[in-house]
Amino acid sequence: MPELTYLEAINAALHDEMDADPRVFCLGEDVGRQGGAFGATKGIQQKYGELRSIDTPVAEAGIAGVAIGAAMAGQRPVAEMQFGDFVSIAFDQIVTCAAKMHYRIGWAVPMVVRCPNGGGVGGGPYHSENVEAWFHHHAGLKIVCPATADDAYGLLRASIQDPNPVVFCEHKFLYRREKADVPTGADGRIVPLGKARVARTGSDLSIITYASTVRLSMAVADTLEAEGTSVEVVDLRTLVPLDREAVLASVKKTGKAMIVHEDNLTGGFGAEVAAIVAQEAFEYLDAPVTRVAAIDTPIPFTPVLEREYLPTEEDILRAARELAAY
Amino acid sequence: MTSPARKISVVPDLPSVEVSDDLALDLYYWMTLTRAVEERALNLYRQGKLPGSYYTGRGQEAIAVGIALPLVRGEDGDWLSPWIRDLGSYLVHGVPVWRIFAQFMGKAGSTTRGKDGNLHIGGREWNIPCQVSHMADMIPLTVGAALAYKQRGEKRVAVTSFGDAATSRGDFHEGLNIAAVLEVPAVFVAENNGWGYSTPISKQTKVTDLHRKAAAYGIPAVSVDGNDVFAVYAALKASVDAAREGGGPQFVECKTYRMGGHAAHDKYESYMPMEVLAEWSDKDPIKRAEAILLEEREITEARLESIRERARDEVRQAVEQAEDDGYPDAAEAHQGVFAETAD
Ligand SMILES: Cc1ncc(C[n+]2csc(CCOP(=O)(O)OP(=O)(O)O)c2C)c(N)n1
Ligand SMILES: [Mg+2]
Repeated sequence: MPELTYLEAINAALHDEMDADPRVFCLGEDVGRQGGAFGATKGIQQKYGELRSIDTPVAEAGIAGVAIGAAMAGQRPVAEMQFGDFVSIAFDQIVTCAAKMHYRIGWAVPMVVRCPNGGGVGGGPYHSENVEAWFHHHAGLKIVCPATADDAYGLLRASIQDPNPVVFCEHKFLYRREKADVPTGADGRIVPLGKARVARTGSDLSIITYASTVRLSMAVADTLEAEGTSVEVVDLRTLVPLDREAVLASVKKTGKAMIVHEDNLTGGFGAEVAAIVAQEAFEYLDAPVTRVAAIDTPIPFTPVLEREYLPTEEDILRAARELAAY
Repeated sequence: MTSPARKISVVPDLPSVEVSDDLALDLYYWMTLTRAVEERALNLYRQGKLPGSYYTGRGQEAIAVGIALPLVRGEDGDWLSPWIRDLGSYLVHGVPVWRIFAQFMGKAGSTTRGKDGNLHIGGREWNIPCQVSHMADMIPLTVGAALAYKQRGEKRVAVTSFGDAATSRGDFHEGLNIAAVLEVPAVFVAENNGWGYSTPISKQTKVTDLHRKAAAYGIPAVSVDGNDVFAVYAALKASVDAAREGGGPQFVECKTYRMGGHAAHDKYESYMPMEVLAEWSDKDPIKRAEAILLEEREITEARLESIRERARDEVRQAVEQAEDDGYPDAAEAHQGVFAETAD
């Protein structure tokens, strides 16, 4: 079994889905011969030809709209935004057409919009955005945020097979940093949407997180273990559908909930999780629900500022110690 | 007793198209039915029996009908995404009349089961996606459907219509550009009626001959008299044939005039020049078709009257059926956000 990076796992998932289903195709800027800005679609045009690996003009609304129409007409498009940030231009198509079509006429829109997401790579305000919260308010979209190479593979395959529009937030910082032995092809594992993963079991407090902050939370759990605090880490994997049961089960067990994400604090997905926990696990809580997230500013460029913006391992550790001591 | 089909040549760039008397009468029937439905619906709206707003395409029936008649109907047929002025397109492409009234009334038999209103009509069985309000959004979708047909090597086309003001929006430009580059079998129909709500086209764009915008993307484009149903039909037929045969995207501009307000509640008298309205009233597409049928094709007035009678009957029955229909259960508001299957 080959060790694959998170990025290679995405590439493998695309190859495997292209192989399994002739309706699947990729489209986006530079996705064809070039294999995309990051190489996620590498080798696909060479293997499947130009009709299934389409280099489009720079037109994100058009790309999303074309994907929606093709999906409705029976194909299984996987549209790439060169950077997640540019999905702002496709936002209207995704929420206006893709998200509401099935509700209105029962006509499914099976498509994936891949959004290279997140900071920590010196991308500055326009190449670092976390876009998941832009979409989670809107009914009709699934939102997927893998944290590991295994999940990047298995969740992308599940997203392509899903009959609904999926916003797939793949984290750029994890592209080459997350690695695992990922079985592919016939042995490939599909990870169902809507099932969270308990990344580490613990009994004193729950960290509920997803994407890039899972690895930070795991490191924090290691540190606290040595200090005698047992931390459970729940990786949500998908924000829509949300595995409420997994969140509540963990919080009811530990009595303390901390939500961690890289996205801005205010109106971030953590607010939703906090509200659910407060309402549905209130009697189990031994401490206030805590959130650790980025500061409420655009994402600054220079490393010293970007570090200040992002939630760090130290930020999570400090908050977790306080929560453990509460 | 049918006289030989007439060849109708619209513009020098397009091949002429044969229109038999039967087809000519078909075009007339669908326009008549369209107007009959709209007149009845407008009455119902004024009686307070239709929730929401009411939009009519009065005066633009030739476009609505001429777009749809050259297409293949049914789930495996051609994709058609009409604009709000194009009730006739929905009728021709297969949506039953009573379901359109049910749609206006918000009844369970509406194509959206009451989840959307007015001309947001659609369904897989007719290969009509449900249009959204956001002008020009359906253009990239139509390009995507055309791409799907091309990818699978199917001889199908995807057609969409939109108003002149939609040509100001980004999705118009992105959609046309992608269609041209990917050489997909899409046909775009711009309905140039001179107005976008209260804004005249002169304030909408400097390029008021909309087909020139398509030419800028390398898409073959023609402009036709949108009040001449035979011209619209011929232009669409030729363009659809060209797209179907691998000629890539095509564009047809239909020049017409909006014969009233943006919607039934719009006080258009305050901004529309009445003398221009009167001029266009003389160019009414149904009257014009009647004149051609009677004088040039020597169809009898009795035959035309029987067609009008048929349309009136259909409308009467459709309204009854829609009125008898129930409303969806309140529980349905919660249902259908996500699909269980796409097949
Ligand atoms: C993107 C967007 N902005 C605003 C509106 C509100 N609106 C509805 S119709 C209309 C004008 C439409 O003009 P045109 O495209 O020429 O079509 P017509 O009404 O003349 O048929 C406007 C501004 C809308 N539907 N979509
Ligand atoms: Mg107009």
